[in-house]
Amino acid sequence: MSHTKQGVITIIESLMEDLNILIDEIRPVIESIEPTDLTQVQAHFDALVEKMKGLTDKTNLTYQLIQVVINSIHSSRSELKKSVDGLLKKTGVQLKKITTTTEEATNKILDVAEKLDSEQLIIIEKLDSLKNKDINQDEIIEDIKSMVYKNQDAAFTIIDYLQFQDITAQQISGAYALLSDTEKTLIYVSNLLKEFDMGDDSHDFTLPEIDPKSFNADAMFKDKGNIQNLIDDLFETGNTQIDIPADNEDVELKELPVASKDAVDDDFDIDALFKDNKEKSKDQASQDDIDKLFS
Amino acid sequence: MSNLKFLIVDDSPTMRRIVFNTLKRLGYNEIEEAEHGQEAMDKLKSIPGINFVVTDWNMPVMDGLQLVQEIRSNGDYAKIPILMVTTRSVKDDIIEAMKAGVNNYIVKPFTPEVLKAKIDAILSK
Repeated sequence: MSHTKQGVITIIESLMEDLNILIDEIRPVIESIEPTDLTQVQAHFDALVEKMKGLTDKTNLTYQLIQVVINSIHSSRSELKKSVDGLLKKTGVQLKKITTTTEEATNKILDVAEKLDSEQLIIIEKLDSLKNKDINQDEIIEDIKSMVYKNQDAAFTIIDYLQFQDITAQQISGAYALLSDTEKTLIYVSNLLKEFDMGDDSHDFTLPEIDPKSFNADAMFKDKGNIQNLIDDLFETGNTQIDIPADNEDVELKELPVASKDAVDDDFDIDALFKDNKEKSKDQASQDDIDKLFS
Repeated sequence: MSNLKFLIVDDSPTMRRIVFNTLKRLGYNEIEEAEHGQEAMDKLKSIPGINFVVTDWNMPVMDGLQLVQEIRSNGDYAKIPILMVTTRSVKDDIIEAMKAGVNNYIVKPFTPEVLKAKIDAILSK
C-alpha cells in the first residue's frame, strides 16, 4: 500500500501523462500510414498494445485504490452516522437529565429555605411577646422550642436534598463517557482518511480516561419510596421473583430544525463562549458601575 | 447504639458528609470515612473497632460490590454488617449485591428515617 502515500491523484496524473504520450505516439503513426506499409503498421500497433497493457495495469491499480478510498469513506460515514444518531443524541438526553435534576433539587431546597425564612419572623414575634409579663411565658417558650426543632428538621431536609450533587455528578460522568466515545469515533474516521492525505501531520485527540466503575449514568433524583419498599421486601423475604420496575424517566429532546448550509453563521465564534472567565471579567461591568448608571 | 463504629465509603465528599451528618443526627458519633473500596479495606485493617460499613457502589479503584466481596472473603471481617447506599436500582444489581453479602440496600436519594430503619433492621438480626 505504499502507493497510497503518494496519493491516488499522483497515479491519475501519471495515467493522464501516459495517455498524452500515447496520443503523441499514435498521431504520427496514423499520419504516416501508407496503405501498402502493413508490416510497419503491425510493428507500431504491437508496440502500442504493449504500452496499452501498461496503462491497463495502472488503471486497474487506480481502480483498486479508488475502491479502498470509497470503502474508507463508507466506513467513515457509517461511524459518523452512529455518532450523530446514537452517541450525540444520548449525550443531549443525559445533559437534559442533569438540568432537570438540578432544577428539581433547587426548587425543593428553595421551598424549605422560604419556609425557614418566614418562620424566623414568627419566632422573633414570640420572643418579643415574652417582654409582656402578663402572658404565659412557659407556653410561649415551649412554642418557640417546638418551632426551632421543626426548623432544625427543615434544615436537615436541605442536607438530604443536597444528595442531588452526587446524582448529577454521576449523570455528568455519563455524558462525559458518551463524549469520549464520540471522540474515539472521530479519531477512527480521521485515521481511516489519514492514509490518503498528502500531508504528514496527524491529529491525535486525547480526553482523559474515566473509570466506568465510578459512575452510574442512569442515576435519578426522585422519590424512591416505592422502589425502596420493594427492595425491603426482597431483603426480608429473599424472594428474587419480586418485580422491581425500572427507574427510568423518559427525557425528550426538543426537535430542532434540520441544519442547512445557510444555518451556519460564519460570524459565530464558539470559542468565545468558553473564554476564561478572568478574561471576560475585564470587560464586564461591576455592580457598582451598573448602580451608577441608574442613580 | 453507642458501641457502633461506622465506616462510610463513598467517592463523593458531599455524600460522605451527608451520611456523616445523618448518622450524627441519629446519635452515632464514631464514624470513619474512605473514598473507595481499597481505602476502606486499609482502614478496616488499621483502625480498630469498626463494626458497621455503609458503602456506595460506584467508586473508582475498588467499587462497592468488590468491597463487599473482599470483606466477606476475609476471615477477620466476614461477619461485619454492610449497608449499601447507591443510585443503582436495577433488580439484577440488587440481587447481585444481595448474593455478594450486603445485609441491606438503600437507593439514593434517601431520608434519615430510611437509614435508621435499615440500621435497626440489620442490628435486630
